[in-house]
Amino acid sequence: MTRIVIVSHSHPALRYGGGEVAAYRQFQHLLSQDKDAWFVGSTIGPEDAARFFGPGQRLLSFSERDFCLRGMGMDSFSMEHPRIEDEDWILDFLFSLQGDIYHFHHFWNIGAGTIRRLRGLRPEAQMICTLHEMTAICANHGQMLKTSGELCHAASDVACAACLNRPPVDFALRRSRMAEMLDLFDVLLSPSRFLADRFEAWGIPPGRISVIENGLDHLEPRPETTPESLLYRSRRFAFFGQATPTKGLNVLVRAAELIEAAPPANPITLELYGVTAEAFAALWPGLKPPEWMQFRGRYRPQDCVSIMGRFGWIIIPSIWWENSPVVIQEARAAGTPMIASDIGGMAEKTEGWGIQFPVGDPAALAATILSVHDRPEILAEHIARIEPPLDMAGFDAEWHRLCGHRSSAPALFAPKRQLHHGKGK
Amino acid sequence: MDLKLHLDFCFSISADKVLAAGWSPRPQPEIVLHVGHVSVLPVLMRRFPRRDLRSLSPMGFLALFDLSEEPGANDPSEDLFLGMGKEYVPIANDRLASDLARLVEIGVDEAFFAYVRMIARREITGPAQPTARKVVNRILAAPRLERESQDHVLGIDRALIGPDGQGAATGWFLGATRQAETMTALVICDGCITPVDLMQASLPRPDLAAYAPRYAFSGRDGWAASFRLPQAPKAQPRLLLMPPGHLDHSGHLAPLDMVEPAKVARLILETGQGLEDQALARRLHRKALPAELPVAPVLNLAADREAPVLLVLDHDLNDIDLRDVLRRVTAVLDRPLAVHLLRPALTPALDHALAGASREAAAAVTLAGCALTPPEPAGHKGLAIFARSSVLFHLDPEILLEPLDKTLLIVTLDPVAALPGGGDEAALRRRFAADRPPFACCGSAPALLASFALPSAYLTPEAGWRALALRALAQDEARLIAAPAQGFLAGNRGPFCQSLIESVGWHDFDARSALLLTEAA
Repeated sequence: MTRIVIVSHSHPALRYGGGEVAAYRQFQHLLSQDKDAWFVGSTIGPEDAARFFGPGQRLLSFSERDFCLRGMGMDSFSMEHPRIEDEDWILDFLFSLQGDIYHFHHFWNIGAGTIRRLRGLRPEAQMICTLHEMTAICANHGQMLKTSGELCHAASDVACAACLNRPPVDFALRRSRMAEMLDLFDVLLSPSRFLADRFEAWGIPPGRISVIENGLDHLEPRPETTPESLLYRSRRFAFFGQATPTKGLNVLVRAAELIEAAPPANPITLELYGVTAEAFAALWPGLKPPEWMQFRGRYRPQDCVSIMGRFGWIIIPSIWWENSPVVIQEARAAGTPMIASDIGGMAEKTEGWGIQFPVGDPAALAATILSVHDRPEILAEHIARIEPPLDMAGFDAEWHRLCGHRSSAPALFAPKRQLHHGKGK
Repeated sequence: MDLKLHLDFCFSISADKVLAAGWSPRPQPEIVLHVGHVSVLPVLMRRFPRRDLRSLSPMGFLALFDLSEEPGANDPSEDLFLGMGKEYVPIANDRLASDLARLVEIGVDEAFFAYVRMIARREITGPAQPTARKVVNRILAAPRLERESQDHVLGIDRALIGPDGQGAATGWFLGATRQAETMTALVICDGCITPVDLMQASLPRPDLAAYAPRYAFSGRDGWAASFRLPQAPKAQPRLLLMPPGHLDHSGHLAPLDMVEPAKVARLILETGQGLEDQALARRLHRKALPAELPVAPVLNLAADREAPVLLVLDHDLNDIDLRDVLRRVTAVLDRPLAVHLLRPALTPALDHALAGASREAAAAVTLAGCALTPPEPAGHKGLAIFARSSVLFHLDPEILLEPLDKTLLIVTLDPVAALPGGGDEAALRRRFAADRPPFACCGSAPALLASFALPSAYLTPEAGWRALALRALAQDEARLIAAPAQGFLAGNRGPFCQSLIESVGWHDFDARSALLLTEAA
């Protein structure tokens, strides 16, 4: 049986980010299909490691196939292990799994050197990488958002040097290292066309990256709609996400302030999930959300879809591009349309069933909210256009097809290249 | 009154220079040196009072004669006479060789220290050993001047010397009255004296205004000085400041701080900024350089092509990026690679980067050394490559390993060379010397490393290799090729990319040094 090793930069048992969640869902689905699947995640850095690991311990085992490596802290600029012994250990671990397929979701905490050497040690294995964000292109957390706050449309050594206050040659070297590493993968996957386009504009040959949406099983039926429920929901708006500077919460609150200044006749509510009032105030101490805007704090990820079903519109006002936000898939699963910034993965993924507003524009967002508030017919129209997201079975089938596996039974195939990488270990 | 000419000593300074020491009460004695039928007037006369003559009048003299100025005067077979009017004193030939030692041993202090000051002013050259050591001993044995007296007050702000004998100093000096004669200085080290080029009253020092009631304050009472010892110092060097007058004392003696070359360079640049006249700033820099660049022969030695390749690397990128640079080299290399890092210390990141490159290389990658200077030639008989990391990252390193019929291959990143009219080879050489573009070079390790056995005029090894490359090109022992420079991005890390002062780094300083040395040549 083909052994599939899913490798992620983090582990969803410890952190709940989109990439690691997508990776873990894939692992769980493969296990449910009785495939020889393994999962290797990592802690992000020494802080996490100190919390979860004892002296000398390098591995947490959640099951005999589900591991979390002790991340020793990797500079996301270099994407290399600062200590070669750490790279040696991770390489040894990955090599010892004797995978026939290594599917990497991200490469942070794994390291470019690890991937180069694994390629050299396992030339016959298929190596796949899903690009969950633009880290290879952009050293500013992979967001292509300039430190000055402007959106970045293309990377260049000199422009990046000006943005991040490092010499241009650092970026030339980083670009070379990232491009070399990506070239070693047999298959490159992207969860959005937008992301694939950015990589192609950066230098990846056109057609080399295949687009495959992250899978999301959605077992719950959509809520039934009645004229009353539609009217009720059309007055209810929600945000799901974290209080980070790029999520655009300040844009949303400023839009709410504008609405508050000239409130609609009928009630309006806006609930924020994943954000506490304290976290918000810490980031934007000068902003005062109106009373009808409620902070709901943390929620269980598995409850997300059912909570979304109670609302008419989910707002995603991010001021960076986003790639393929899980929240969009979850809104589709819930059958709730979205109001989204008109850029990047948000524009792509909400096209046809969402409403877009100019990114970072509170007045435009306020106008958009008011244009659908108390309008059940518009809500019904958008709900009708929502197609359910790709479920895990669909993802699995598409994954096998894009990776060149035979139907549902992944088999070994001729690798993209036979590389000589010296003496390996 | 005895108006006669009294000759105490008369000796050769060099093949055609003679110095006479003596005394005469005449205010302007018309002293002449007769050589056979040729009469030579002194090119320089120094007068000074002598305590033994019990007079404050400047009766003592040192008269310098340049025999090369009169045809036939430097004929060693001719008899010498020192004359004044109708008087003359025969000078036995043996005195020319022995009188200097006698002056040093038994000459009165005033004559001796007048002689020493002539050396300090570079009016005459200093003596060879063993006399030089005797001069030093007498200087050190003589009474010293305090920094403050009725006649003067002086201070030393900084007095630095580098490992190759380059030095600079700054301070201030105020005399009780404005004097035509200026302060002079010497460095005493390892039994030798070396003149110091001291520029008195060259730096603004308004802070000394408080001395104005007692001394002649001008507002520009700071002095700057620089020097270059003929050899690297072994013992503690000392700076001897000799204020005007006071020929019965040695002067004010202070130790020089022995520092790394960059600190001397920084002092030269900082001081140069304070000098209004840029010609003085250039002079300050020039005098800290060797009179002539020590030149090692370009060795035409074939490299052992089986031996490990030595890479002498100026790693001007992030430490962690060393791994990628070495991977680029090992990817085109079929032999072991020994790496000498031009860094002061092997940081953990460099260490791990080296280990990482070693893990991925087909042949061994080892650390040969880590220092700011290149390694000794001994033990390296294969090919050697010198480059900055950013250059190796930009170039295809294979170009450096191509078989070569010359001693040295130089690959320069000259942006002009790729332009439609930029292909001229002579112009490429000129720009390599003048514009100093980044480059890499490859040749046999003994040939490449030999010149570094000599004291260096430069802060960076790269400047040393550029000088070697230029010599080799001049001797048709090198091949210079231009690699495409478009897209090249220079690194700015590592010791050689540091700034000395605002906008002037180590490479800039070396460029100035090279220009000054070229102008002198």
